[in-house]
Amino acid sequence: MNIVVCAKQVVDVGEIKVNPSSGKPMLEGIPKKISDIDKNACEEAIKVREKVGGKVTVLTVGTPDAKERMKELLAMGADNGVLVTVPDKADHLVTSTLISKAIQKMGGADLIICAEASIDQFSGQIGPRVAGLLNIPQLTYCYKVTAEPQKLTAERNLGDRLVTSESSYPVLVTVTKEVNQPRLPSLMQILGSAKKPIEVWGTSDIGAADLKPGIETIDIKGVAMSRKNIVFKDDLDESVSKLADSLSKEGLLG
Amino acid sequence: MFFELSEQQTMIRNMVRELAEKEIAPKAAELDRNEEFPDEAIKRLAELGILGAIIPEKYGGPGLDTVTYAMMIMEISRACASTGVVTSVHNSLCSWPIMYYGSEEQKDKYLPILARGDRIGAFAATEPDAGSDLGSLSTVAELNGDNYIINGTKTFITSGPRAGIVIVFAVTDRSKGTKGISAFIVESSYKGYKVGSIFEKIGIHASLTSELIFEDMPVPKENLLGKEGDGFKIAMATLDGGRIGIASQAVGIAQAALEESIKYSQARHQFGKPISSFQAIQWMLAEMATKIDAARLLTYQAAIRKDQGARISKEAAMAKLYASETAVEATNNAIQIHGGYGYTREYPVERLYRDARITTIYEGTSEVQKMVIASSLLR
Amino acid sequence: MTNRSLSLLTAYQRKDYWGDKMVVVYSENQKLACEMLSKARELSAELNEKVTAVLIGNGKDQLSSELIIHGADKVVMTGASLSDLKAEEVSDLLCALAKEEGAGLMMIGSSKDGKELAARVSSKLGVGCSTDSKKLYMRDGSICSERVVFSGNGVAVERFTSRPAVVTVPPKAYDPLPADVGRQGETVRKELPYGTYGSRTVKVDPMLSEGANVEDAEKIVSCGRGFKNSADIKLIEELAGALKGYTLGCSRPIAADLKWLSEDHWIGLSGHKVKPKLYVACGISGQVQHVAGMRDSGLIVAINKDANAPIFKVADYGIVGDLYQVLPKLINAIKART
Repeated sequence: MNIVVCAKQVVDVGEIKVNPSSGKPMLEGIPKKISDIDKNACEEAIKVREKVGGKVTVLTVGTPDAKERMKELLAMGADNGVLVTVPDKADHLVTSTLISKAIQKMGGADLIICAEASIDQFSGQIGPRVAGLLNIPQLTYCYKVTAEPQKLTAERNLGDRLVTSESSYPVLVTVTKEVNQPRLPSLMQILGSAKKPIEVWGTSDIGAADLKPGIETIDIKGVAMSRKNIVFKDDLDESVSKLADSLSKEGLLG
Repeated sequence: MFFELSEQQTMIRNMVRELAEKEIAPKAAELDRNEEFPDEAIKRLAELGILGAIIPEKYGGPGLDTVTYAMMIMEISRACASTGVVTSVHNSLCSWPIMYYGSEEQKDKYLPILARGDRIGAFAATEPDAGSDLGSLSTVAELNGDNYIINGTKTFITSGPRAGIVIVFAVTDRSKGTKGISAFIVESSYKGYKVGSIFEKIGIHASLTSELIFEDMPVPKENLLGKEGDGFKIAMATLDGGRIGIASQAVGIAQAALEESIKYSQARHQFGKPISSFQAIQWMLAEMATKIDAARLLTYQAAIRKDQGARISKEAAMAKLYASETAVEATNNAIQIHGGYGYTREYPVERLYRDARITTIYEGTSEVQKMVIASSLLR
Repeated sequence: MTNRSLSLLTAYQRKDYWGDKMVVVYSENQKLACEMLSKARELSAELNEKVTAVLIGNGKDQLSSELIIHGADKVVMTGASLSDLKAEEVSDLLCALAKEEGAGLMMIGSSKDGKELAARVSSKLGVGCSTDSKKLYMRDGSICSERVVFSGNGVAVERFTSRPAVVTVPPKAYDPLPADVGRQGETVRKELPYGTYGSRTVKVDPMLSEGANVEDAEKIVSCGRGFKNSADIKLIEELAGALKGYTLGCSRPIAADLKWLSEDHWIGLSGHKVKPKLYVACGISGQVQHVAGMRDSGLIVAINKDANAPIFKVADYGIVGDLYQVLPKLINAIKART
């Protein structure tokens, strides 16, 4: 079975500091890492391979330094990597097109595993977009995946209900972090990962040289953090009623 | 020269840090309180190849360099100093002498066991009446047929109650002084091997420390490490490496104290401001950070020199002296910064303070380190 | 794997393919659909487009008038033969609709189903998509959307350079328009094409209770020293029940010292750090060690009898009073409003 794991290098959102004067997040010089849930995706891919056999390829669209981070996934047990160099202007449309074209260049995949979302943007678009571009089924938000040679069954958390779905291959699956506990690579695996191949493809290598984004991010604004400090302290019934009204207005009672 | 970890070392650091933060640190306080050996952590360290970090690939280890090894001990000790010292002793004081002085047969037999962590390693030189003064050892080994018969009592043995393979130093020829000391690879299953009393210590509670008692213990003569009379040389060279391990442990403890202090001083408000805005606190933090960096660099320097094959008595002693004194100072300041809370078990700094204290003592006190440094200056 | 989909995509990507004819609104959540219609009406005036709401699946006829009186110009009912509304088929329907009638903006309700659907639709249309759009407006002739990124550390302002602009809209971002019963609209039944896919739904189960995963919780009700004994925690559980989808939290003494709750409830510097949308602190004084664990919460409510308790300094709303009196009243007040 050919399994592709989509992984993204992101800034470590836990390390982001806010510029005290502008209130904007400062994104320069923040350490980068593999987006957390992508490690769950990789772990699941390795588990599927352990069960039904095959090969796990890590696919990343990113800057050249992402290669270093991809090695963490190779150390966990993925077999090889493909890094598609990200163009200057890329949105989810561009990135997912690059991913689907890269998968086609690989000769297709039976199973594509993505995280439900990346921790920096948390859009959750890449998985469904790639499935859409390849016109294959998508099983999203999986917290349990059971792969068999002819079909894949997934238990999915759709927020208001739990759905069990199954699909033939090829299929794209997105996983939540509950799906597994990503393994730590051993020292031997880390040393061994240096020998695993990572190919670097340019956009023209996959016939996607002139992609135009559908969205441009024109600003990252700060988030106002001040508190309202409205304290009701007189008649208890009145206070309670005012508080309940406020909560209702904030949309928090639903 | 600018010191920077390589790509691979960074990956290893990230892995060990994740292990330390997610699996080791959360249990450190409880193990400390219960004086309980970190069996689970040691098992994980073995699975991931960390317990046998320096053992060559040929014998089932990853064969890591000393710099990476030191960095790993720092990361582990930042989470749990007890687990740090158990790992350090297993590598530096037990596996290393077998790697460097062992016969091919000894390496084939013992290194894979140590690499897999099937047995925990220990080092038994100190006796009730002989610490750094190895010349006055009273444990004796007498050749009798195919065995040496060892009699004596060793004390302050790190991992003593859990050890399976112990490097034991004993006198084979009293007339030759330090040249009459020999080293042996001893298995805990040997007849006459006993674990004596377990010590109640100020800190590193989870690393069990005990006496080892040998009563007419037969040790096969093929377990003699090196030649008869090589013991002193082996002990000195082994301790040079061990001191890199202890320096790393001290850096890890100090680093934890600094991080706790930064976190607390930013969260704790007094007089309407976070206490980190007061210069008194800032100076303490600045001094801690500077000394910790200096200690780390001294440690890495000794490790680099060791990997280059140089004699490192002076560098290792400097690193151990400075890092351990820094750990004691930094953890002391960390308690001061935490105020009353720091003196309670609610915050981890009290454990760090207790754990740091041993680092200026074991594997040679600060005073012994200064003797070593001075003797190399005045040679 | 086929190449068919990509060649299809290339056809869609030709810009001249699209006329800007309508704003499309779709959600299986009728309430959310009405909220989106309100915003759609506002934007349709600027875009000079008509608002079309979509109903997918069988047996939804009676919902059509509801959508019209809340602002839809037209309701398209499609996919009558679909019993299982999976993203694969539904996205085909929405794409086909956009293709037939043209669309400038497509607003899809931001449930998990909605998000995966919107992304798939956008990919098939070859356009951009803004997930969980908190604000939507026209600027210099372009549709712009704002959304929270970097774990709440920033708000991205996104400008669409493609049409239709696809956005997913979370519940309660907009107030629905008052029902205008005299409003006229057109309801059309339209069978649109969709593909067949190798996936199927085997089983649907109701959501299980959350347990004490405070770090992922959206709503947390926490208790502190203000509670006199462990049995009284029932009070807080009732409040939490009234708030729906809650998780129970606590301050240090409750978990670490009194052990009334296990440590996975413990919120604070040495406990868990949480970021729920709503954090209700009951009988918690607000030591820095506790605040450090919950300061990033969306909205903080404090109930404490000490008016000088530091918790009020970090709260959005507070009630000064004995929680034993406040909580029962609050539970009733909330139940009355939901």
